Amino acid sequence: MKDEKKPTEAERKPAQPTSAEQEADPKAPKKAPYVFKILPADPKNAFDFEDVADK
Amino acid sequence: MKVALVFPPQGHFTQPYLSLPSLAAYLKQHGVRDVWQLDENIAAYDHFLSRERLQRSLARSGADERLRELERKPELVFTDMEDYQALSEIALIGPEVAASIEEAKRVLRSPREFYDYERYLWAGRTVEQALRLFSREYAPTRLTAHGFVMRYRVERSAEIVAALSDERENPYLEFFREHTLPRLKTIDPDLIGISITFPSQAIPALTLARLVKQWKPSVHITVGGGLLAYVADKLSRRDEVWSLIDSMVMLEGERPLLQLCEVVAGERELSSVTNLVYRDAATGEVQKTPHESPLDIHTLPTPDFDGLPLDRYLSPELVLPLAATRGCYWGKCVFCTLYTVIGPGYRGRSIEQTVEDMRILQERHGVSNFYLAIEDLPPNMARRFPQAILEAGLKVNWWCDARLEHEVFTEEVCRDMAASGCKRIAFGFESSSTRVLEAMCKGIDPEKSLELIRRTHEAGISVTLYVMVGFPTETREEALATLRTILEHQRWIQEVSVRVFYLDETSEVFRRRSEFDIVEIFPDPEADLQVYYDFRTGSGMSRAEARQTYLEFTRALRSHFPVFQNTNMLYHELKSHYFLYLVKHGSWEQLKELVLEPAVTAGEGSPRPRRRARLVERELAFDRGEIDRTLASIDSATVRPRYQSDLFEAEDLARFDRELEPALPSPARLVYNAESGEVQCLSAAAAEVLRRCDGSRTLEQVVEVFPEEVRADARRCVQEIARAGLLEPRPPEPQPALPL
Repeated sequence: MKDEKKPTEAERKPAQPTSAEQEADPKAPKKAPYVFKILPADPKNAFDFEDVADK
Repeated sequence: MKVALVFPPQGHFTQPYLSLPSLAAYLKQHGVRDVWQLDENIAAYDHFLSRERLQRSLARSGADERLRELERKPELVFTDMEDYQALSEIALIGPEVAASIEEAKRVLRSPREFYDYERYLWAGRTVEQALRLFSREYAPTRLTAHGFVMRYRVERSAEIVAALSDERENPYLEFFREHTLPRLKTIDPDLIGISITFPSQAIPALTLARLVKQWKPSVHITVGGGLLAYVADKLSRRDEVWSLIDSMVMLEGERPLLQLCEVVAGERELSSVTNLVYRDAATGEVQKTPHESPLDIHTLPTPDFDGLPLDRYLSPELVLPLAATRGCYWGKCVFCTLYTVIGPGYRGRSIEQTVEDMRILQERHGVSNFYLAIEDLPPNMARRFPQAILEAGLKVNWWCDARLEHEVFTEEVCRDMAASGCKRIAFGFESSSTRVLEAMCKGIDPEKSLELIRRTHEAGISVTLYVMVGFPTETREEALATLRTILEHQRWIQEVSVRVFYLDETSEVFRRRSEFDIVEIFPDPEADLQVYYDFRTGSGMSRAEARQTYLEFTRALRSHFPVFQNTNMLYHELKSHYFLYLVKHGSWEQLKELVLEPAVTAGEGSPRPRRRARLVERELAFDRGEIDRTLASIDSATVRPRYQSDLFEAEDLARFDRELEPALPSPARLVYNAESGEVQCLSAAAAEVLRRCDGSRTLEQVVEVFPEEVRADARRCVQEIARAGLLEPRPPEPQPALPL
């Protein structure tokens, strides 16, 4: 179910890098330590109820 | 005299539509023998959803290289995220989808495999993924199972004209050139009739007309169908249109089409054809001929489906549409335009004729499933039709729309309907508010409606409700009360089809809009084909509130209704798949118990969790899960009212790029389960958990590499990975040997 897993506000924000990481390489990919997250892909053409009603 | 009738893309792919078979039967009845029916909608889907064509899309997409370019960026703005979403999927699964698409189509057409729900879901997901892969080639154009949209608006004739020659974004140019034109050249017709029922057909229909005119300028091309009833007059004012077509048929097409055959044969003047719009060759002026009263429906022949590619539709069994009536016997609902535009008047075939139509079609095509393509089941038919079917000894299944007629649908009538093979009824419920229903002139009582719904359900018929949100003056509280009512009575309701109210310029609401407290309308000055208007009311919900409330409805329905779960696959293919599943299992209760809500066997309880063998994975520099959320958080209809498309305007996209927080690199993994067709987005830590689930480690050994303080999270992650279907199911417990 795509809509059951509503992210909290905290989850929505990407984890911030530590200051040490930023100093080392500001462009380095951020580490989000131990965020265990699994979500079904939700691509753009997921249908709209209204699309179906018309045909 | 050769006549080619064309049903252009885009419509549904699960069953044929009724327009061509009705016209073909009438022409043949009147001596026009050489009639060809071309369903270019199913032909296009069948071609686009082919291995060879998808491999071409894959090559043209350059997904790997373009994804790497995006991954080198320090951040992704909104439009980058849209690209990233599409390209990461194609890079992960494109080759697999192209390789398995023929198998997916075979499953959907296979009477054995279609009803294996896991296989069905895999096939449906594969088709959707394939359509995304195909669409990417023409981005931002998007073809789905239920829609076709381009950046060009179909409310603006200038944009339609621009779309017709856009080789980069119009996928039908190539298709028509490679497939439809060669067929037409072989037929070499004297008259071509193109049926346009949906707005999504407008651009493809005129694209085909343009190509045909380039090949054979002398052929007479006429267009007709439901959409023309709304826009023909406006469309006729655009000069370019008359270089593409020769005439437009208004309203019912049988008689004008026959008369056009006589014109092409030199037996009649164009000006004598009724219900026609054309441009006079001598004066260049647009002419509109008088409307003749419609044909006596009793004299119409049984629809003729011969010549349609009946084995190509993506369903294991045919569900044929049949029109027992034309028009609506009620004809009072103020939001409806059927009786104000399509009209005139309601007509019904005799019950005996309809039963005979079924018998003939069953005999011709071996079909036992029918969709009564009618506005609503009239009371006399509800009472007598079931008995007539039984007396004729027909073994059929059928479904239709109906009004909530409290006096008509008694327990006995519901029981008879079920006995005659009625598996599903879709009722116009709209609202649970008496005030709103009275304003709509629905003529129904919500309390009595619920009783009727209960009777229908208890007779064994699946109940669908049409619901409307945002009728002028409707308050948010009234709309939410409707939602609560539906959820409270969910045990009697299997599906809900919800939509936002649209203000159609041909409706009674529009004509008497001050009575509905509509204080302002907002025409689009460039939309010369505009039918729907944005508006403001003095009371009730604003349009934005109505849209938000509608979205709340859809979320609640997806949470509570089994039919809308599992990526809503059955609902996607609404036209016939859900109905066929009902037929197969005999009743909703059986379908629910055996198919939609079976006991889940996940692998989290395995002593040594093992990831599934057929997983395809890809490391990503950006978190696809977060990108999906960001993209889904903006609703295009809230940003700007658009009625025929959900694509964003270029200026809105530019604003999102400037104003929305970009995505920053965050390593993640995309995992495709080739058995189910599902794709999951895993964070780096979750991906590590999955990697360690190799069948050699116990749960504790899987999580032991993580610090003590997060091990509980890691254990929960194993459960989530199992629920997402990425682990092998737990092997069955060994049964103790029975004593001899």
